[in-house]
Amino acid sequence: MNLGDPLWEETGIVSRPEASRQAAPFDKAHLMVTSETAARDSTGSSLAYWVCQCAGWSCFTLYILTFAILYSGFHLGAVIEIVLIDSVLCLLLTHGLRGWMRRRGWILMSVHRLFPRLVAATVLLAALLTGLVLLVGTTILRSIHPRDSGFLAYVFVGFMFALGGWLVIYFWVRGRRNRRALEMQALQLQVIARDAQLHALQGQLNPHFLFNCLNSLRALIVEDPGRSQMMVTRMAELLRRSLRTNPAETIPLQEEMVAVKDYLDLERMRFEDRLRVISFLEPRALTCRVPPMIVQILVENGLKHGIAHLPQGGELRIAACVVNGRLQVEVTNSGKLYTDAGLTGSGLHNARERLRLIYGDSASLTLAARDSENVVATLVIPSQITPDPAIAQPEVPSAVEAER
Amino acid sequence: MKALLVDDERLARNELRRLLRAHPDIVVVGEARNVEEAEARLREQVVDVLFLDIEMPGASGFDLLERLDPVPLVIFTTAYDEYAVRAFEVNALDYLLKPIAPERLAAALERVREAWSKTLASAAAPASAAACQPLERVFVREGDRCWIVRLADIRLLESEGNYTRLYFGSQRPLILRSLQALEARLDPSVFFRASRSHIINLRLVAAVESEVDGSLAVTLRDGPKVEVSRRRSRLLRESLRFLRKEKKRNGISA
Repeated sequence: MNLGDPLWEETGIVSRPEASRQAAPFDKAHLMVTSETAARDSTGSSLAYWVCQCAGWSCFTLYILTFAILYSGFHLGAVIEIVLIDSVLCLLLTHGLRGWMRRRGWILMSVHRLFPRLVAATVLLAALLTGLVLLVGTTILRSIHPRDSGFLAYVFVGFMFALGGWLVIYFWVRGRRNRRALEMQALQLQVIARDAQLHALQGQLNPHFLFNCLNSLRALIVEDPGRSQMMVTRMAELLRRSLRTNPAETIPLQEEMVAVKDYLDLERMRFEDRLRVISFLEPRALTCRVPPMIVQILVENGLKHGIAHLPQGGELRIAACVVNGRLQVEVTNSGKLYTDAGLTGSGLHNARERLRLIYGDSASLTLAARDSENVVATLVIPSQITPDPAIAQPEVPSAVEAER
Repeated sequence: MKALLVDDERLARNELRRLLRAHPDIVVVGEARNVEEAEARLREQVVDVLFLDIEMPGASGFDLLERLDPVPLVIFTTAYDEYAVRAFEVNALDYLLKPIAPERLAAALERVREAWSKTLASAAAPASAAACQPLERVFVREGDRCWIVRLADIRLLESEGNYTRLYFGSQRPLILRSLQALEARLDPSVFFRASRSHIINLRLVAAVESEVDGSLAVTLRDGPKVEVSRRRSRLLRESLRFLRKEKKRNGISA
């Protein structure tokens, strides 16, 4: 049996879908693709499987028949024996072996666990077949059958090669098919990532926010030229950031909070005293990395679905801390939780999608009613500390504190 | 003309006020930050034109219109609202997109003045000198769409339980008012009760046919055809004769 390295690498790949299924980090679209590929393969490949089975064992039988006739002449009994054992029985046995491997999860095993099992199965089946040949030779076909140990060893090795070859071909085909499925998954992930990027940009350039801001700004220019200049700068910063942002990357929370502050400054121009902002940000949390715009989306959501609906306005609280090695960001806003508008809203939905792409299922984003008056959005992600402290801008915490 | 500004943002109201300074005939008599305040202002004083934001805390501009009777002239102001833009397919007075361009405001006001002079003219006419002033416009909302419909454009009102279906243009939305309640507010010289469940607009009648039993069947412009009960048919003949005479008289004077 020549089991080259590439093949075993492929069987190694085989084990990966299992891992991903346990972790379930992919979304519906992804799973749909996998099951689709699987369905297509099972109908297409079951025919191919049977064709290969029949053709392979027929060839093996012909090969053995040729040798048998060349060595000991034509005997009808021997021909029947060879046909029955070498094609029909071998086909049934390997089919049974395939079912066994599937049920026992051999297909998903790592190489070092799988190899001894495959060797054992090959030896066992070859011994079984050889024993059967010996049995037939000593009972039914006593007159024509050679019974010496050399012959039996020859038969045994022959079966070993046949079964080993069968396994090689089986795992090679499987490996190829799985690699194709994985390529498909990778492509699908790329598409989802692009989609998320597009949605993030659209969400950022929220036209309702943008035009309302411009309208307020138009009034503010007459009322307070100095402040309107500042607002124009804030808006420029916000727009520049949204155009530059790559939603697949992460930035320090500190940087994200600068964007949030710009955004809130603009919203406060519109809401005025209807919007009160309080933030509690742990210094350690500020160095953690987050996907860009993730906090801003939560804040935007809290304003749009919460405070904007309250004639008297409300309070927005942003809290960030590190708990058990995880960064936890809470955005609490006055207002009621509407289940239909909750996480189905495109902003939060996209945020979740992005979290899943970056962190698998080790990040979470939940929306819940804190009490009858407040809604809290909680973001939990594994805390990755910014490696270079120089990236963090030192003047930012004071700016955030100033919002209290 | 007296105007009321309804917008939740102080700066937005200021901006509109400032823009309206270029139009001395528009007097801003009040401001409201939400629907409740707007309702209170409207109870206090007569307002000719309403500048109305759509998205406001509590209730939307559309909610306000649904509560108002009669509906004043309305100019919507909105930052960006596909919904609002889609809403005005039929007889919208106008909507302005924020930030408001002074030229667009001037054009919208021109339309308002035109509509207002029409309202004044009809109010001055002796036919409508009744104690309860007839309705001019109704605000209709159905699902995602809404209209401010001039009653003159409604050809048929059809009773459906507590609701009434209005036929205008190619639309036939339902409104939550009974046909009885609406009838009291309609100009009786134009709207005719054809049967228990139908009121037709006599000015939008395309054809009248006599049935074998002496009752009438009225076909309205752009359909449908409405059967008139026998008892009402006699009244309808008189009304139509009166309307024809009136038309002739107007024709001579013109």
